[in-house]
Amino acid sequence: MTSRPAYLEAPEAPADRALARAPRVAAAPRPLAAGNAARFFRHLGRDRLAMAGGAMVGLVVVLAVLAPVVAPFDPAVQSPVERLQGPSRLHPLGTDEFGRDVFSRVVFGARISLVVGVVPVLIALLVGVPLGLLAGTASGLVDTILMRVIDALLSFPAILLAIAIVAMLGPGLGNAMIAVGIINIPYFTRLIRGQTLVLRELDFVLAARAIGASSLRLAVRHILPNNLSLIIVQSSLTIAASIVVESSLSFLGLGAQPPAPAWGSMLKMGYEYLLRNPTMAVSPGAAIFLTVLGFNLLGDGLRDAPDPRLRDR
Amino acid sequence: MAAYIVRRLIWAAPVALLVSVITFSLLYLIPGDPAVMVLGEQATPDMVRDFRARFDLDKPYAARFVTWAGRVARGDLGRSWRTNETVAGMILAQLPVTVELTVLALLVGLAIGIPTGIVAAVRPHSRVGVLATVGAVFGLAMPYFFLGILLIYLFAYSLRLLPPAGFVPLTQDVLGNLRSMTLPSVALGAQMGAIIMRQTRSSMLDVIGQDYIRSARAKGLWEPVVLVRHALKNALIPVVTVAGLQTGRLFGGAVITETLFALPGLGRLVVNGVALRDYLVVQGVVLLMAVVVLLTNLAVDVLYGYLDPRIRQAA
Repeated sequence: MTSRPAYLEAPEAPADRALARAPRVAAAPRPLAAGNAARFFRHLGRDRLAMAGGAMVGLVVVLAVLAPVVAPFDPAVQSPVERLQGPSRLHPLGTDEFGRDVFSRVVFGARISLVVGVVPVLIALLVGVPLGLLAGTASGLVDTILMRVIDALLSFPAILLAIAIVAMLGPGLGNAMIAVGIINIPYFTRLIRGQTLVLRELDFVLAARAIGASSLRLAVRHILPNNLSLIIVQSSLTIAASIVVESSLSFLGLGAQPPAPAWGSMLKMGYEYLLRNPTMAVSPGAAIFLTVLGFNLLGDGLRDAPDPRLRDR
Repeated sequence: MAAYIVRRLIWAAPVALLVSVITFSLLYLIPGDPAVMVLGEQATPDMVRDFRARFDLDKPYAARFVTWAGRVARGDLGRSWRTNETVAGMILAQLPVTVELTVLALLVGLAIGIPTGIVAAVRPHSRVGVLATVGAVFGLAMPYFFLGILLIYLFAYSLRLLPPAGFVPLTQDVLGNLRSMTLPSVALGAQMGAIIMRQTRSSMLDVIGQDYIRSARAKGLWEPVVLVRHALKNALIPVVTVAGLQTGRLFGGAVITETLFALPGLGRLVVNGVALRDYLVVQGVVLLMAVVVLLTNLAVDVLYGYLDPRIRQAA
């Protein structure tokens, strides 16, 4: 049921797109109930790719938290005599155009990238999930209008809409995160709505309705908890997508502003000095690639763990 | 079939309206007065008043939207606040580059994705099959601009085979044009290749499990004929439609790729427009791309409904 945001992964096949507009009977969701948890983690533990992804994510988190300890230099301190050096024992990834240590900047950049990965997902969760629950439970006119707005938002190329929003709001890390948050909203809304349409016909929800639970109580106490596993998977994949979009914005000079060591803007400067010191571009680029790869692999693993037979399909 | 097309059009009309409302409303995100943002703090009150009147900034939202939508319907996207050129003219001048880039990137994606997807489905444990599966995972995690920079370093700076950036018009020099478009198309198309590979593999796996493939094998057909004539023909329908649904992603990637390779396309128009606060240019390109994506999705849905009657009945 989950998919990466379309700007990172193929959308559902067209057949699904057409079918998704009408309520359908799908396989019952596999909630992360307590009894299943042990099996879930056993499957996840056997999934080597997911474990590798988890390790990459863990490494980035550790680097971000311990950045001042790990980084040998202050990421902002300039040293003009050492500018544009190749890798050396002192500077393992060389220095940039101001003589700043590239390795230290990549390490501190992990902080920015994790924040720009997570905050837009939180924005999308806070707005997208309630809207999805509303569309799925209210149905009728509310559902129709909401889903048309979502379809309209999905018609915009994601990166372009993010660029346009930042262009209007003004460049900067905060506005970039708002823009990426906005482009993530429709994916959560559509996902939660689809799942809600399935869940609300299941016996336990009907039973709750029969004893007089209000729509709000049905949505929050009965339907939302059963969406949690989907939300976790989607969040992991969306963090990856958000990091890519934000680093695209930084690459265009619209995200984090200098001297902040954002990977996207480091890559932009590295491109200018590609011939003088290639590690200036390759290091932040590889950091983006490995972080995104880690979140993608972890998300795929979380998605497949409840039922490993789904892998590759 | 006609009823199905009408239903899809009834779906598309309000979405198109909402797309234009969203695009128009983007201008309202500008903090403060757009006139001051464009003219600068030193502008005299007279200049600001003139500017506001010239671009209808002094009218209420609804009135502005109706005037704007009426103009857009006639192909008038307004004039650049910087150069006073028509936005439609600026777009038309840059459009061919973006069209060429996205078409070439799509071709690169199909050329990489379909053969590797078939091998990954038929021989998953062969060297090519494993490489394709791993490559797709890597391809999906690789940002356009990083792949582009690696390609520039390798093919332009180290091997000196291709130009690192710049554009040669097709009308001027066909070979030079292709040389200047090779690296950008690969940078933009590689991720498409990963998406198409995954879709080809999964739909080949679906088809190969069908009874008619078993029958074809049972009657002793040569395996390549089974795979190409019987399996691939059916497996490609979802692949082609998924490729069609990627127009938005290609446009978004084109913005980044054109900036990296200094190609004079719509992406560069947007990026320059952002830098110069030329909001109407940004708005024009955003609207055009969203409408093209909407129309492509509509065309893909109709095509899919035509090819597969079950979809017509379900929707």
